[in-house]
Amino acid sequence: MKAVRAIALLLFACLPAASALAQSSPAEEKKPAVAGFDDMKAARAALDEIIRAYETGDIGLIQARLDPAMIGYQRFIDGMRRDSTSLKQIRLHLFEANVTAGPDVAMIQAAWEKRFFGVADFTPGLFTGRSTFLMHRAKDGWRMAAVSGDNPFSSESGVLATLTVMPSAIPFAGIPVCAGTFPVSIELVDPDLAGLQSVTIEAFTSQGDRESVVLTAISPGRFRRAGLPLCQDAIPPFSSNGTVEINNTAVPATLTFRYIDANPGANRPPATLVRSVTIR
Amino acid sequence: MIQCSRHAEEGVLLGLRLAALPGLVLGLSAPSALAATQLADNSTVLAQFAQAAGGPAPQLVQDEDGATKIEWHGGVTADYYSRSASGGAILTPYSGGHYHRLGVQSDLRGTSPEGDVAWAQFALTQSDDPSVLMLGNSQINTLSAGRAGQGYRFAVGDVAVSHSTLSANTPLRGALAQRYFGQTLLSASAGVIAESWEALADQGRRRMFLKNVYALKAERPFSQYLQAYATVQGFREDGDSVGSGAIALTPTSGHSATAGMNWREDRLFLQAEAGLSRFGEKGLEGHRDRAFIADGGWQGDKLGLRLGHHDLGRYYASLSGLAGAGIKETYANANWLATSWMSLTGDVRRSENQMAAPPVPPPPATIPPTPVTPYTPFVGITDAANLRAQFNFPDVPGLGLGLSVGESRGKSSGGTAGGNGVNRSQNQGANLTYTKPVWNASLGYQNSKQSNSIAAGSDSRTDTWTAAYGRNWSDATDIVQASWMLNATVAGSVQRQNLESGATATLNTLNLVLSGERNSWGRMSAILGGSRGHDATGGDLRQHWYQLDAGRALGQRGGIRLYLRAMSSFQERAAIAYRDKTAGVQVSYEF
Repeated sequence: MKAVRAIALLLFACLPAASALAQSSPAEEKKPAVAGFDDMKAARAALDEIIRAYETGDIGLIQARLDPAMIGYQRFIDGMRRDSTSLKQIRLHLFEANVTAGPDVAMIQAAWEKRFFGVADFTPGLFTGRSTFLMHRAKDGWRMAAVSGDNPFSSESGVLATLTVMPSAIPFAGIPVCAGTFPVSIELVDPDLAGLQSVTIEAFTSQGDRESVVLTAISPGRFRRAGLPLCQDAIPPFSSNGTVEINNTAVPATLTFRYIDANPGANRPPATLVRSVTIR
Repeated sequence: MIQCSRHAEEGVLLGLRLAALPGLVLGLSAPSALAATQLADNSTVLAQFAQAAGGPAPQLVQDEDGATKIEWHGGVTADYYSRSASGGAILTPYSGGHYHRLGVQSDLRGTSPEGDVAWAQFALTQSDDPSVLMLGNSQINTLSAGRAGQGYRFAVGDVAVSHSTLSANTPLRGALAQRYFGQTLLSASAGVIAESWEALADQGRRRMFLKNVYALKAERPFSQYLQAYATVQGFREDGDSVGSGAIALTPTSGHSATAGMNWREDRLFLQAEAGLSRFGEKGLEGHRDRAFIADGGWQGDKLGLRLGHHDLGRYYASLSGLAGAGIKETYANANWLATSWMSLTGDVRRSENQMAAPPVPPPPATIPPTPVTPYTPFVGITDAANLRAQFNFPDVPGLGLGLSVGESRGKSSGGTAGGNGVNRSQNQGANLTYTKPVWNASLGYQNSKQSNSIAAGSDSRTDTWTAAYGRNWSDATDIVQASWMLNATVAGSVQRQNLESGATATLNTLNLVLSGERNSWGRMSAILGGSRGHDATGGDLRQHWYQLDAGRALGQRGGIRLYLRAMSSFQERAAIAYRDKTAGVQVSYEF
């Protein structure tokens, strides 16, 4: 209550300065517009309508609600149409919403989870992300102007991938002598790649070895590999021979996995995702 | 709502006798030193304020003239509900248990005689339901205070920065100030982009770097029709703001400057902006890039034309959510009210997407130390055309027909990832509607074909039929408003998807919605629905759902609502079965 009271008093304190500061300007004839909770609620309702349309595959409705001058309009529409074909029973769950509103703009920040089934084998999938939905007030109500951050609506419009590697440390003694395989779990989730059967990432060591590692899709956009050709040897490693070799004369060493997310969302250029494993 | 209005002769001066938040005072109340204070009464409003606030009211001090208006809107909503759920986190966001959710919002405003508005807004959600708040059990949804008047605006807290398409269009937690100096508008913002106030305060709740940002804009009219502006903005991600290992990204920084113009004369208009930027990832080589956009058109009484060109480099870095990097596109769009019964909308465009998937595998090995693999662009070019037509038949009032047809063809090339790819999307649709005062009906058909040589597993043709019928009942007459009303809508759809592999998936859905309201009782709604079909493997798909919702007012400002909703999906298939059922009560109060 003290905070409410203090804010109230602050408002009163600000009022008298108005006439003193105001001066002749192009905005002179305009009344200052301050968005209220009704505006925020209306903007959120417009967003919810678009979400429901996306879930039911009504892309025509969404298309009619977009400004043709939207940057990336066609990529956005094509991605949604592709999603409605390849992902079934889409359910988009928004939570932890935060709304910032200006006179004619509302920015809704929210986390989301997208659940679906792949069309080919009905494998369930789950994507997660965090977005900022830019809503603009138009003559006929609130319209979505853009999605910043991870785009939940359309594959290929940009969601930041996640790369997970387990374990984070490997005892050198546990690595088999060449040629062997070590149980390293590598998982990449990149919703932009939903539909691809495999993805290649890069593995390299501090000793100079560099290999390509292929991950296989286990559901749309989720790629995994349970074991890695990793072995120890007494000689320097050979690059691009399909096996990550650790020279036993130069431990500890670092094994790094690297993936370039071509479209990480958030209007961010291609981003490099890196996970490192220590071998000692 | 609490509201106060009082008129006098020369102006309004307001004083404070209680302490204010020091930080906010620093930002907002400096001009108040100019004001002399007098004690004045406004007993009704202040008594209401005191009662609602639970403490002594601020004292309203006023000189002999002017008008003072204080408004306080707010509300509290409390939910208590019990839920049973099964299926696991991959299939459903819900978990079973007894939960509560409390929502509080407050919007306090003061309006000076000149129309200047000062405001303080606050909204908070508190819940122990992880599907509402995954981390923690409370979240500030909105926190904002500020003041806006003739020729100026400043705000702190949640600030919406909206400078231009290529510069800054983002929410941030910080401060914003705008003011006219003669004809020139200066706008400055600075703060932090964070997921939430809680993430800003607690590292354990961060899933992305904190981004420190600033944005400046100067705008000036050069004639009655022309405005020009220039912007500068930048950001730097704080690499230490997230715990080590929490995310795999490297922190980035970027700076950009743009210049643009808005021109509108009679029926013609043009908006154009160009920008230069520098982007860098920590420890890696930086990138310079540029962007340019131009959107113009002509708006007649019956015909509207729009043309535009956007060209944003792959590494163009800005603070604008509107500025999608790696896009080059040109479009033309027309709206034509051809006759009183027909309107047409057409759109053609060519888009080049330099962010297109899939990524390119790493190049051959290099001698250590290993440099970062350079990114090789994988360019996708798409040509698309869409046409929509809407018919209204004057001879049959209420009858409407919408037709749409569209196609996009794309190809990708470059990189080393297996050569060229081709994708194609085609869609056609028709929707017939008939609306009478007490009933309405619709019948629709959609057809879609998708193909993509890079991900051919989902190449298919989908046909969807939809139909709906709705009817209203009430005791309204031409001169008397309804004291009760009832609405019923039944809707169904039939969808069939034929994959190129030869497999077929179907889904048939039926949904019934009843809603009613009676003045002295309250309102209710009921939904009952189900779907049947099979997936591409031939597996049976069965779902059903229902929802009951009833509420009534409690006094002038309160309300109570009871709800029960449930959904059951694919119970015959253990691997994908999930269900949830929720029963709860909601009590609300608004003022």
